[in-house]
Amino acid sequence: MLSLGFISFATPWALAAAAALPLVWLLLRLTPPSVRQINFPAARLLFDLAPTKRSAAHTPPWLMLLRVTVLMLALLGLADPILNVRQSSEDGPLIVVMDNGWAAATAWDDRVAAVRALLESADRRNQPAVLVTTAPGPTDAPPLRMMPAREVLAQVLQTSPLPWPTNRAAAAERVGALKVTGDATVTWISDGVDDSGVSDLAAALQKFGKLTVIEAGALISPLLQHPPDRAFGNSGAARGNVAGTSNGIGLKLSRVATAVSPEIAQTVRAVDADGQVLARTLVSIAGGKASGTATMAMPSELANRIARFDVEGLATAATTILADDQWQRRPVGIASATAEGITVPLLEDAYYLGEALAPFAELRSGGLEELLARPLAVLVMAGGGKILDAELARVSAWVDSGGLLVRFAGPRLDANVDPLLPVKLRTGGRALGGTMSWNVPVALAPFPETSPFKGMVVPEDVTVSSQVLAEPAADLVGKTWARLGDGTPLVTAERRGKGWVVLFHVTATPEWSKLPLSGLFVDMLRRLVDVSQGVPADGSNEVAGALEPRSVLDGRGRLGQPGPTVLPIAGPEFADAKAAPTTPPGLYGPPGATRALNLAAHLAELQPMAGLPASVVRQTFAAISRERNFKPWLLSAALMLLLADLVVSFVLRRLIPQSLRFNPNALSKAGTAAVVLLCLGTGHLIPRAFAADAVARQAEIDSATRAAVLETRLAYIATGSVEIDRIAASGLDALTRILFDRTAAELAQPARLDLKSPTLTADMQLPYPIIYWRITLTQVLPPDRAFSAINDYLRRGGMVIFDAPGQAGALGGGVTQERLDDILGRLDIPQVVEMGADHVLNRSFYLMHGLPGRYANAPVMVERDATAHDGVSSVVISGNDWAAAWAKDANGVPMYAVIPGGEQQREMAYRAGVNLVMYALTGNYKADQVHVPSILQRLSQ
Amino acid sequence: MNVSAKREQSHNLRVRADAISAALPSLLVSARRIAASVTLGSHGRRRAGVGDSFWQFRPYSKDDTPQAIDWRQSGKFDTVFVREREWVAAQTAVLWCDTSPSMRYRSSANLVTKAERAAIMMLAIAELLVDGGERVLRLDGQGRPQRAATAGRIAVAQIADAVAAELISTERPEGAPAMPIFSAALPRHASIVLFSDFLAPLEDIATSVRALARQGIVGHLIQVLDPAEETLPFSGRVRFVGLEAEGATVIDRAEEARTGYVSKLIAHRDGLKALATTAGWSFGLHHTDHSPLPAMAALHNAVTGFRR
Repeated sequence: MLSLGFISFATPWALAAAAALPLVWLLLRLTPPSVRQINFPAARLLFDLAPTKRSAAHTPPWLMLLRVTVLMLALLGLADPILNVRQSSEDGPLIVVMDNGWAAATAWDDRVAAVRALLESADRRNQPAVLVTTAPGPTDAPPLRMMPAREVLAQVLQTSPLPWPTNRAAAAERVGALKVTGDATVTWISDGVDDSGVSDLAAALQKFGKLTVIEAGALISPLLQHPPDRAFGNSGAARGNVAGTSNGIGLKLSRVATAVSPEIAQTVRAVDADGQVLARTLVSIAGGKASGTATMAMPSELANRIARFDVEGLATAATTILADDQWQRRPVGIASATAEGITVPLLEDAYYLGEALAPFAELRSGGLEELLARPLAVLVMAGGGKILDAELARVSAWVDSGGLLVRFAGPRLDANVDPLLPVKLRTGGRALGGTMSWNVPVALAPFPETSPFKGMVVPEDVTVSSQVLAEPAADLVGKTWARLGDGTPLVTAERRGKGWVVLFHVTATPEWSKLPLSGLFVDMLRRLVDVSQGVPADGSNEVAGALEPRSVLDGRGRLGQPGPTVLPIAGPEFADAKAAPTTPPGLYGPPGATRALNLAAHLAELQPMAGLPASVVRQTFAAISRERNFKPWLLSAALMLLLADLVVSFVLRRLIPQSLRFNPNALSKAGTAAVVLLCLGTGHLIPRAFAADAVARQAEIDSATRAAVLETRLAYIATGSVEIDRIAASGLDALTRILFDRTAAELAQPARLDLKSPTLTADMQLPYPIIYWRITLTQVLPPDRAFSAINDYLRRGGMVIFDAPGQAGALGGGVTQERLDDILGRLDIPQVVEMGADHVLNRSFYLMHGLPGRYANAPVMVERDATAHDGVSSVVISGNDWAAAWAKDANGVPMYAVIPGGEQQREMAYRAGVNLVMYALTGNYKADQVHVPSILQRLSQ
Repeated sequence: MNVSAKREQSHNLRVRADAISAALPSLLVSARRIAASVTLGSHGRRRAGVGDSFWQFRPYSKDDTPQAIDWRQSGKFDTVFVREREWVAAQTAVLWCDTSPSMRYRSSANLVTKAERAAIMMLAIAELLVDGGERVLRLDGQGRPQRAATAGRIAVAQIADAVAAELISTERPEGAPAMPIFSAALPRHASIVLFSDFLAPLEDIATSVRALARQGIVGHLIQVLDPAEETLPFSGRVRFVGLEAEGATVIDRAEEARTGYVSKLIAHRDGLKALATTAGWSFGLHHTDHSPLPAMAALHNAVTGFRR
């Protein structure tokens, strides 16, 4: 190797060829340029001109220079010039120690570059090398051994910073076991953070040779972010009266401080689960100081969304703090007053509350007992029920300790039903704007200054038609947070201990007012949640079981799937868990009760590395510059120049065709053509893609459902028995014909529903007004999925006729009571009673006395208290075997005789069928007719 | 020559005739455009004779025929007057345009060839002369009279026809001299206009000019040159080939030969001018990159000026 200052040549003999350069120069000069032939009329005048100097007709000097430069570059490139060749001991192995704990993530690329520079130089000299990493891995590291530098280089590229601290003492032990021959070069790329093993490791390394410690230097120090401190609303009285409250989040960054540490400023970001940045705050650390703090101000709706804090432009495990469910805490519980009964969307309180609260609060629902078992910020009780004495103490205690209880009025919220009301209520409510009332529904008044709703715009269309009234009292005005235009309170609140009891004097459904339908309702609930104290992350809701890892951070602050080496953490031990190979920082625990394990939470204060022996050489990264080989650069430059020479030669010899010289017209034409082609291409593709999408979407609706939607029709459930299905099919078919003849209901061919169909959903049943189910003893039990689909259908306003003839000798076998219970028990069927004589079913089309079928005496059961669906019973259960009475064969002859008999009964059976269908189609409007006789009587008087 | 070869030749002739008739209108049109923009001077002989315009009244003499008496004028006076008309004598102008290969040259596709420009100028002057009542006679490429001198529009059309045919033909008689001798007898006191690049050796041109001057013919030399011939805009190593089989020469650095060439061209032109002056002729210069109008105006003045 030839060395010239900082440049060395690996193959210097190639330079010898440079001696031939003058020869090339001569050869180039001697080559005459080519002759052009020109026809010229005045050639005669040129014949006897004095000849010009021949020597002038050589290659231009600058072209000569270019060609010689090409040769020079090629020769230099072949000679392998290398910059910054390391002048170190030529022999002896290389030991590289690399800190790869969390602190090394800062300037990691510089560290890797330094190690690569060392190893590449060792590789050039064929020195053996070994790489020692100081951070423990999840599994035991294999013993160290010397290997060729090239293999170690591959190891380095696979190394990444780990999200836990280093263990230098363990590394010292591993190094101690290393067998090295000769005097080694030992380099330690340190992260600059002190730990107990520094002196051990230094001593172990010094046994092999001179130790050089390379650090990032005082200017670049690893940065640590401490878990932010969320200032929960503690002075509720003050905050209760301030609209638009906001939270301050205390941020703290710390570093390894030395006397020369400069002042730094870093931006801390709050990021939500989707990666959207919610807020940025600058945190600065003064020169020479170890830490700096700042406060991040943000409204609580945003604060609840925070998923992590990180430092902008510095993605490491130490600067990333994960926020867990403990953090996003304004849990709101909705106590469901009606645990039993059919839930109807759009008609129950919980639905409106859930829709309004879901955008900004963590929602839970369930009974009071269940809700209060876990920390809760806000408890919403809708439906106006009484809090049972057994639960009263518990709820009171929760309110006193800072809970916010929001109650809504309702028919059952009577005067002073329990002590957890902010004001005394008067017995009986107040209705405005009813049919018999002269006054109209009242709008809201602007919110009082002392109210948390202060400043919100009151829409004009929000009116209240019913409310509960407060007993006048001296402090009523102070307790009122919202009132109506006539001064009566709409929302009242009272402070209880550290918490609040808030009462809406209307229901949470649109029955009493239009408030739940307005955007104002959402805003009011949001303000209320802001008023609540929140739940401090005191670990009070520890999960007793093990917390499974959900996602873990890597050394660069990225969340990822936990690997197989990550172990669950026992719930009670979580508070003391530290970031370690088997428990890296990350999120643990089930959804909804996730806990975050943050690296910074358990780290000691950062100290500069001490305890190194005085004989150690300390350097910074700048001292290790990478060796650079210029061979590829020089050769490419030579090639480029050669190409340029080619072009120049062509130009000089005028070998470039005329059309290529310069033609702006042709260029613009080509450009236009390209653009047009592009447009055509894309324009062609896009509509086709859309069309394909549309076709795919259409295909999702199956043909039967589409037919049912397009034309109203009856449906029956396939029982699995061909015989029974035939009865149902022909019965409904005959009934459809009767309906066509006698009524305005012109229905299409009845449909068949297969409960065993894997794709059966309520959506597929919903188009049918009636589903007729003839249950027999041999009825195969449908899968659970089918039951839930039927439940869904009933809940959304469908009607099922269960026809279960239990008489001995009934077609398909009389069903026993146990079998019927078995099937109906799986369905969410409301309480049923025997149909009364004045039931709408008896008068929905024909005036009937009972609804006979093949049998006339079986009772017909209907829903007892059918209030959900416009007063229409969702089930009709009978044993009259209607379908058998309706069924006709192909010739129009009745298939089965009626019992006890007579065509009169069959006609009645048809009339019963017509009534059933009309009841399902038209609802309860005939119910009004029940009162007609008495009204007429009264009018005639 | 077998039958099929004959048929082929006849076909070629017809194709060529088509090309000629296609070329004709453009030649004539551009020639007329140029002629129309040059104002015509008087062509009278300034003495009494056969003509259309009135010259003078003079007293009747016994030699006059009675038909010559102008009775209106005689009625005003006692004497009898005779109306005399100005004598108008048609003069023959002889035109020649060089169509040799060297005239087919143009240095750029944007220019016309020298022969084309010379033909247009010749037709334009023919048009002007015919308009003035003169007769024109064209000499062909070898300097022989094309036919008897004719007057009128038909003469211009005939000349255009013949020139176009000559321009298209690529045939060139073997051993044709660089400059025709013009040995044929021409009408006395005719004037002649020669269009050429006059790049032939000066002696050849002198021979031709002297032959004409000896017949007492007054002439005009119009040198038509391509701009490239004026400036030699070439560079590098170039082999210049003459177009009339005069040979070739290799110039190593054409850009350096420029000065020598230009001075030789000027010397050649000075020789031409001296030749014209000696014979009492005029000399004009035209470049194909210029408009032909100024040259035409100068030429017209020269052709008609001697009569005044």
